Amino acid sequence: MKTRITIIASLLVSILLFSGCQSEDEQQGAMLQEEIKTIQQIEERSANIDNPEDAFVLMRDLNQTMKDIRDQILSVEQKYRKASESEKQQLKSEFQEANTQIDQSLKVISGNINPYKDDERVSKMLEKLNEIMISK
Amino acid sequence: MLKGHPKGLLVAFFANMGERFSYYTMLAIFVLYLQARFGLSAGSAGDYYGGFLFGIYFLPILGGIIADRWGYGRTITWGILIAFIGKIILTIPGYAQGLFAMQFELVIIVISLFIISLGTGLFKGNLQALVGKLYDYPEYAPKRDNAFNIFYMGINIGAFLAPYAATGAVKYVLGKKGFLYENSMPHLANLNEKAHPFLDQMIGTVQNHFAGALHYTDKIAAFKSQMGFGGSLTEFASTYTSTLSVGYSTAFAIAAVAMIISLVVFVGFKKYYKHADLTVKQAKEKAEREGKEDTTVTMSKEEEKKRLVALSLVFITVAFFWMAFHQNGFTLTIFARDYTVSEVSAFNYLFFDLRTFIPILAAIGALVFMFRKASSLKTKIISAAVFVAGAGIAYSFYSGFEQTKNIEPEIFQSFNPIFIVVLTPVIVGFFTWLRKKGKEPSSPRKIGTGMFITALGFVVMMMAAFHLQSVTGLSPYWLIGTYFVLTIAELFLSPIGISFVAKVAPPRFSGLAQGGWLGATAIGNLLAGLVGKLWDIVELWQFFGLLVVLTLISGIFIFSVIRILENVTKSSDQQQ
Repeated sequence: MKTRITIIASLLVSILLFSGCQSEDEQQGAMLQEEIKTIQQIEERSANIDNPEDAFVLMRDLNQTMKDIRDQILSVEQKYRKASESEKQQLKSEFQEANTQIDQSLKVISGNINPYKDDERVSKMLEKLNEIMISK
Repeated sequence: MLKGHPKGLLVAFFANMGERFSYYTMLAIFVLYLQARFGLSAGSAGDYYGGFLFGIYFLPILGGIIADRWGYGRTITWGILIAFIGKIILTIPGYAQGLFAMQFELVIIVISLFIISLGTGLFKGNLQALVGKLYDYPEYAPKRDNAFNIFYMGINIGAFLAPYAATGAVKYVLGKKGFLYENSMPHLANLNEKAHPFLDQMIGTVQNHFAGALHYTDKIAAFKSQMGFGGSLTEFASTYTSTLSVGYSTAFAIAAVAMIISLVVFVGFKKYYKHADLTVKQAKEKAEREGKEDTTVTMSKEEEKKRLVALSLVFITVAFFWMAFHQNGFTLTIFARDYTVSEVSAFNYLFFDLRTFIPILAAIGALVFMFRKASSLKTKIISAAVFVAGAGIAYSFYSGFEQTKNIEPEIFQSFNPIFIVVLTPVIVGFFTWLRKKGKEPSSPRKIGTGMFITALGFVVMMMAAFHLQSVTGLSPYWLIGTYFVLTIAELFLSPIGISFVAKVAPPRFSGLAQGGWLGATAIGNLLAGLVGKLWDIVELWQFFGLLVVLTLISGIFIFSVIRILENVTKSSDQQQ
């Protein structure tokens, strides 16, 4: 009996500890690199869409990534406001580079999504995308 | 339902309902208030919110330690007063301008949040401990579980009404200036206040490929014209947010008034719980003073250790219950948004609109009383009147509905408090019926059963996930069904768990043990967020399957240690 209790209790406690010890990865390196990587993966996936369900899932993932991009931009802008002139130039050029890459990916994704834009669930996701940059 | 219970239960019920109403009124608008008043981003406001909730759930441990030495009633009274002071500070509308003044005001708000969480810490767990003590008498002891079910209903009535009061107050203040309530305005106004060189450019990039993407000035302009405001965009944004800020302060004032009502109830009806409001030391002193025999339970260290081990085992399990249950405000809401149909027929919408759903529930309840054999003629007449009124109100709103109506994903969360209120009398009646037959399960068995019912709730979601492979949007009844099952699980587990803690806690640690229960709830909430991160990583059925497995393991765990738990329950019963 005691052994059984010990085993199950340790199992539950270890799940608790394991979950509690996980932490989010810190963003490091050039601006928006993680997000650009994700959006490029979405771009690759968009080439293989052949039904509305795939288009919906893809748009859902794109919206999540754009939300992350928005949050990152808002926090970079906070840094930008307090930065010195040289730092501002550095941030600007990093952003231009990131923006160009995002622009290219969005162009491809938009073209591949276009045939499914009238599907109810896809159009709902498109509506969300339209407001994502200014929502909370 | 209240027959045979001590009157002190009603005092605790209403004192708790007032405090919970106050707390949830404040919570409903708190993040929006921080954004409107201080221009915080959602992330920063969320940090304050998280810190506040941490205090709310962990300070009851401190509150418990204090009450176990100082006395429960006294600690609870101070808790209400302290939380009231904190809420009063929030009611002062902010007029500060300039960075320094705003930062100073934010510091004051943080202090008020600490004061509120300290007050709640002194109140929440200790009131539960006091309710437990009311049932430490042989004539009441068998009804302890039912008592906590009733007590729990008070929490949910308060929590259910609170958001309506909060938004009602805000809408009233805005309405006086001719504004409509639009909760995205503070964020938009904040965006409009500062220059956004990168965000503006990114919006342009999105607009290049997705026609219709909005800039924040577009949205503010749309609201401005909708509300017929004549000035510039900046003037509109500033006037709107300052009016909104006053609206929030008014809602905080309602929260403060509710604390006063709670205080009046708790202090005014003290005579109904005074006899039970004793720490071990106070009980001994009282017995000595009155020259009576000391009936206080003296417990050996070994017995105390056994009980604390039993409590810890339950706390571990309960953390897993809250982890699964609190997916309701998280992944289940995402599920509602992404996989459930967003439009329902007028008939189905009856259950999504409170103006029709509550009258329908009242009519169904009345119908039960009308046909119950035990009902007197007077009860039958009143029930018939309630039935006609309920059905009439529901029909009058229903007849005005369009053929199809939109449902918001957040609306599913309101089913839980409604189900609590509706199902509590049923569950209480069920346990009473079992007790009369001598078959009422022990509290630990109810808790274990609750874990299995939780697993069942997520089995429904697994089935929904499989069903989703053949349809594009699911019927809302899958989620409503899950909420129904999870609410039954909650009623088996949460009030009964509190009752178990009250029964088993060593008398000198009654308050601390209730604080421990709330601490376990906090860990469960934390786990809910961590498990929720798997949502985007695994398949839907796998996600819900994981919750089924974890809750099943927890249920099996409870039953594997049931002898230990029942032994301590029995020894507590014998000492009463």
